[in-house]
Formats: sequence, structure tokens, C-alpha cells
Amino acid sequence: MLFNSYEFIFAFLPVTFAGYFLLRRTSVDAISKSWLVLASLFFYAWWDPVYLPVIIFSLFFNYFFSIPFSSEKSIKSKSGRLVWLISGITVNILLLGYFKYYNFILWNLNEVFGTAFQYQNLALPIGISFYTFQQIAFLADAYKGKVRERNFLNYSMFVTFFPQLIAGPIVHHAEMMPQFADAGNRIIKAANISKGFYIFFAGLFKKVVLADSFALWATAGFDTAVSLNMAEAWATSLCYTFQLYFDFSGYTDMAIGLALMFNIHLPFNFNSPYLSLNIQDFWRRWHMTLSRFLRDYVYIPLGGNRQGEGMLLRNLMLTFLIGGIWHGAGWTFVFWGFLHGLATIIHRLWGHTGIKMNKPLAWFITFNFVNMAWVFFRATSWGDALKVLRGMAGLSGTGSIGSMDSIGGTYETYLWILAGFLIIFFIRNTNYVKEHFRPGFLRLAILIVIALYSIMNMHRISEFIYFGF
Amino acid sequence: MSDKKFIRLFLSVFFSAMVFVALANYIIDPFGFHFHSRYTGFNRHKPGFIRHTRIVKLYNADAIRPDAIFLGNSRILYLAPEEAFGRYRDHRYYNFSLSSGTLDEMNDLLAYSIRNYDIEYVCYGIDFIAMLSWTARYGSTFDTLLVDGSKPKLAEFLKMHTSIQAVKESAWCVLSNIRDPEGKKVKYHYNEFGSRTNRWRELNYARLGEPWIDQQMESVLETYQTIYNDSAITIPDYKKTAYRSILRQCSENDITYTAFINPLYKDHFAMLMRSHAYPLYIEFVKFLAEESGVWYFGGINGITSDREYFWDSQHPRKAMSEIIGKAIFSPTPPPFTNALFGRYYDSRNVDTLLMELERLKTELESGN
Repeated sequence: MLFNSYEFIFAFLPVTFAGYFLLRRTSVDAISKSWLVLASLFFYAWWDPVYLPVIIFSLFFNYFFSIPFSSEKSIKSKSGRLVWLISGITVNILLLGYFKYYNFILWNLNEVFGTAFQYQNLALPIGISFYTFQQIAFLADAYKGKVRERNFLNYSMFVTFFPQLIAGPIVHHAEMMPQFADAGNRIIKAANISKGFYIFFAGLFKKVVLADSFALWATAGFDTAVSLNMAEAWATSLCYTFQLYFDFSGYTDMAIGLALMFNIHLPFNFNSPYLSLNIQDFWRRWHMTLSRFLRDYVYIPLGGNRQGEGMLLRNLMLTFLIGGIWHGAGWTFVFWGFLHGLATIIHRLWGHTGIKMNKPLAWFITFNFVNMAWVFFRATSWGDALKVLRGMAGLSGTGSIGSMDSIGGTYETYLWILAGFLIIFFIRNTNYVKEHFRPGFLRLAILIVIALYSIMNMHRISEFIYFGF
Repeated sequence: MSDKKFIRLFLSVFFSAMVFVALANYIIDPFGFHFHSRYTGFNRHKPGFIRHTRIVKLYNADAIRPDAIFLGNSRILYLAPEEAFGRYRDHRYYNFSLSSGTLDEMNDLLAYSIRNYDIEYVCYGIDFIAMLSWTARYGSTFDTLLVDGSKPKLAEFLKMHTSIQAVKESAWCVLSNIRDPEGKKVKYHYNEFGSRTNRWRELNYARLGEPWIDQQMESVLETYQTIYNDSAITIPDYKKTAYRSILRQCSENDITYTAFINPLYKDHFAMLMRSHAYPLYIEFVKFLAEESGVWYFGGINGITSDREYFWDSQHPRKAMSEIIGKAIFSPTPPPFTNALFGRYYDSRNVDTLLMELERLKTELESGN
């Protein structure tokens, strides 16, 4: 089910919310928790029930695989525990790999060795990348003794809690379960509801009004246009840059707002990333929970910065390559990861020179690098990526300011791009709003306008981009 | 302000606004759902058609409950075939064609129609462009409600949006003073069957002193020149699969199926024959003939050379639908038919068609 759908806003959410808090009044916590887990699985299965067995298998497997780390009869030897952990992670990776990378691997084998392996008609279970990473983190934390979960219902609620199930934020067991266990969270809290409404509808506005509007030109430029002149190519890339941000951060805002209504604080996932002054800064602000996962469960286990500068640079590159391939089964994603890895290495080496760059120039370079790299992230083929980059470089003609026929653009497109810049520069981000929200007439007026405008523009049924990752 | 008051005020304003829009939807009745505002000149202000036909047509069709449907893309939308295709005159027919409509969308629309109505006849006006990889799988992924051939139950809310649009469009029409040939202020007008019939666009160009037809011909030809010569275009398998699925659905439900290939203006047809895409066109024609049989309307002749039959180089006008209707449904072949215009081909005689096309190509290349 999509957050930006009528059935979610007017049916699923009110029913789930009311049911949860009514059942929380009973003395048996398991009833309200079961309600939330079942509602979340219903939410998950709404799109296509065929995905349900995959997530249920994943839940059972990881829960029972974590037991030897936390029970009294736990595996005692260090090497035994490590082998058990690696086995668990391997099964998770194989599950993810089968659905996400199987055809990609066959394609590569066929291309390189001239084989003729038959591709399988595999649908990617929605959200599998997110709940797999979340559970890998759980296994690793259980291995280290940081978490201990002996209740399958609690574990199911941690994984399936619907606001974060499909596309994150990627949460840790240790930051979620104490909140569910807190007796103070059993009651409806008006402060969380008002704040939750505001953040949810702000996210809906970002998705429905901003991201989906930018999507029209970005999609035309990447998927439909045969060639792009300079104006069209820049408009295409900038529209996608804004589309992706408003789409994913909009989704995250909606998730944070929804969780708040249930008295749960999800971690922030974005912090004005397009204001970053260097690439390291960008990754501290963009998809922050993925960066945290990659740092804690990939970069540091690889050795992090503990084995000298050369190994550090290698570990950085490997982490970004893994981050790239996580986003999708394609060499363009790997290349996107490589570009970010390379930029991070260059940034680190630049840091050794001690030369300070002035802030506007640093922002300009960082933003344009990110914008250019998104071209590889978005393009479905090298040809599409090169088409856009050639256009940006002016190799397919410069065009004129008002000439954007290939992407169906008009002067309105420039106004939207300008609006995109104004929003990222001058509008406070949701993290600030969450920390400083005070109900008042101005907030109320803004909420009513964005809620109604978003609802009236929800005729376009569009998925969130990160659902596909 | 307390949080409780904030929530109460928000919810009351929010839901009051919803009720207001629902009432407005009923009163304005933008797509004639309720048939209570059928006064001349009233309720003719419609939202932009490319996006909204994908919503509107489902509701329109629900009101009509057709037993015969037309499928296709904007060529069929422009043809307005309901008045010309005499065979269906005794039936409740509905034109399901969509601007940029694709094979997958048509497949879904057919599934939806079969599920909800007793369909007896399907007529598909299919175009080469719809079969090419250049067109997306769904003409409008953002808008279609028909994935898997079902309509979300709560899609009723979408009508609210159309009311808002209708109000906006009405205001726009009044401000810009656009009128149709009957003198009514209008932007878009659907007739009862969901086809576009007005010439408002042409008249609007004339008002601005611009040669509309030349401009359309030129720009469309230029666009298609690029498409046809793109070395990357193919006929993807999934499009063939979608077409076979349409045939399978018809066969399983005892539906009489008719397909025809739309005519192109002569310059467009000649350009296609000289292009990189021509072998794909042959593959397309052969595929349709062998899979289902198809009525072929193409070539270069007196009709396809007459601009009066075309909106632009690839969109025929309503007058053309009368010719197509007669050719397909008249018991005796009309005098204007020839091997490349108005003949039926299937696996038994498709070679004749291919030979005729080859002959025409040779003639074009030799400059005759």
C-alpha cells in the first residue's frame, strides 16, 4: 500500500491507529502488538500478496538464527559464534541476491562467456533490501551481545512496523524496542499526533506535488527523448536530482510522521543534503541510516581506518561499491557507487593538503558532482546516461533557453527548478520542524493548505523511487 | 494553541473541505456521471484529456456498460468511430482509446471490460508506433488505474480531483475566451462516447493567424523522422505478448475481434518506408496478419494524399473513420479499396500485402 493513496490515508491509517490504541488499553500487550504486526503485514501484502511468504520466511529465519546468540544455551566459542553469524548473513545475502541479482549475474555470464542461461521471471519483493539490511544489522548486534530478543512478536513488530517497512529508515532493534516497551507510550499523545500530522502531510506534499511534478520532465528526458540539447539535458538532470530528493525525503517524512502518531520516534534520514559542502558531508546528510549501516557493518568490519591510509582508501571504495550495487542490479549503479567512492577518496586526499576551499565554490562543486552522478543512478542503460551527459556538455547542440521540446518543458520547468533551489536553501527541513514544532494558527493554515492540495493532486498513482531498491 | 485544539481544527476544516468538494463534484458533474445537468452549453468544461481520460473513461464506461468496445491510441480517439462503424450501431459501444494508449493499457482495459460488462465485440485500431520500443510500456504510468485490469475501490475519491480541475478549466476558458464552432466557450469537449470531436484547437490557431495544419504536419513529421531512424528501436517481445493476451482474452470469452492498421498521411508513409524502421514495420504487419488477421489501411493513394482526411500526418479525422467503417463492415467492398487500402489480410494472403509494399518501396526509391 502506498502512503500517497486514498485507501491508506482514509481507511488503513485510521483503522490501524484506532485499533492499536484501543487494544493498548487491555492489560495484555501481545494483543495490541499482534494487531500492529498483522496490520503491517496487510499493508505489505496489499500491493501483491505473493511477496508475503518471503518476508515471513525472512522473519522466522532471522529470529531463530539469532537465538543461539542470546539464549542461556548460546554458542560459547568465539569462532563458533562467528561461523554462525556468517552463515546467517550469507542466507540473507543469498535471499536478497536471488531476487535482486540473479538475472543480473546470468546476464553478465552470458555476456562474458557467451553462455545462454535462461533468465527467470523474478519480481523483486518490495522492501527486501531494507528489511534484509535491518535484520543483518540485528544479527550482527546480537552476535556482539548488544541486543537480546526472546520474543518473536516483539521481533516481528521491530521488522514489520509499517511506517518503516518498505523503504526505511533502516532502524536498529535497540532504538525501537525500548519505545514500544515504554508504558508512557500506551496512550494517545496529542503532541505527537499534531506533530505527526504536520510532518506526514509535509512529506505527502513533497512527494505528490514536488517530486511527481519534477518526474514528468525527468522521465521524458531519460526515457523518451532521443537526444537532448544543453538546456534539456540540464533540466533533465536537475529535475531528477530534485525528484529523487523530494520523493525519498518525502517518503521518510511520512514514515516519521506516521510513527510519531504511534509514539515512536524514527531516526532522521535526511538533513538538507543538497547544502553539503563536500562529499563526506553529503553522505552524513543523505540517507543517513543507510550510511550508518554501511559504516557500522561494512566499512568498520573491513578494517575502517585502523590499517593505514592505503587500506582506508580501499575500504572506502569497497563500501561505496557495495552501496552502489545495493541500490540496484546494474553496472550503472556500481559506477555511481564508484564515482562517490572516488570523490570521497579525493576529498580525503585533498584534506591532507590543508587547503581550504571557499564555501560557495565547495557547494557548487559538490552539488554538481552529485547531480552528475545521479545521471548514472537514474539511467537504465549506459546509452541513456551518455545521452544526458553529452547533452549537458553541449555536444548535442546548445538549444535555446525556451526550447525544451524533447522533454515537454516550458518556462514553467525553469520556475520549478528555481523553486527546487529556493526550497533547499530557504525552507527549514523536517528535522528542524520536528524538534521545534509548536501548534499555532500559522502552522495550522500551512497544514490545511498542503494537506488539501496534496490530497487533490493524488490522482497520479506513483510509487516511491526507493521502493525499487 | 493546545495540541488538542490544533488537531480538532485541522480535522474539521480538512473533512469539511472534502465534503464541499464532493458536493461540488455532484453539482458540476464534470463527466456526466449523474446526467442531471444536460442543458445546452452547460457542463462542457472538461479537464485536460491526456491525463484524465485514464480516469474518466472508466466512469463513463460504467454508465454506458458497453457490449462493444474500441481500443487504440489517439488515432482512434480522434477518429470518433462510433458514428461510422455501422455494425455496432445496435450495440452499446464505447471508445476506450487513450492518447498514448499502449498495448499493455489496452490489454488491461479489455480485462477490466470483460470483468465488468458483457463484451461481444472488440475493434482495435492499432498503430506501428504502439508496437515500437520507443513508446513506454504504459502511456502514462503515473495516471493509469488499470494495472492488472482492476480499479481501486477508493478511486471514487478521484472524482473530487476532477471537480477541482473542472472549476479551474472553466475559469481558464472564460478568461481566454475559447469557443467551439457552436459558439460555446470550451477548452476540451468529450462527446457522450468519450471521443474528441471539436475543432477548437484548429480554430484557436486560425484565430492567432497561424497555419495550423502546416505546423502540425511539419512538427509531427520531424518528430517521427527522428524516431524511425533511431538505430536502437525494436519491437519488444512484451508488446507482442500483450497483443497475444488481448487475442487470448477475446478467444476465451467468445468475443468477436477485429483489428485494423490506421492510415498515415502520404508523406509520413513515404518517410517510414525510407527509414531504418521499415523492416520493423514489415515485421509488425506480418505479425498482426498472422496472429489475428488485420484490415490494412496504408499506402499512397488519393485518400491518404488528401489533407482533409488528417489532423496531422498520423492522426486521421472523423471523415476517415467513415471510409474505414465502410471498408470493414460493408457487405460489398467499396470502390476505393486497393491492395494497400481497405483489404483484409491474414496468414493466407499476407505475402500479397508484403509484395505490394515492396513494389511501392521500389517505386519510391526510383523516384516515381
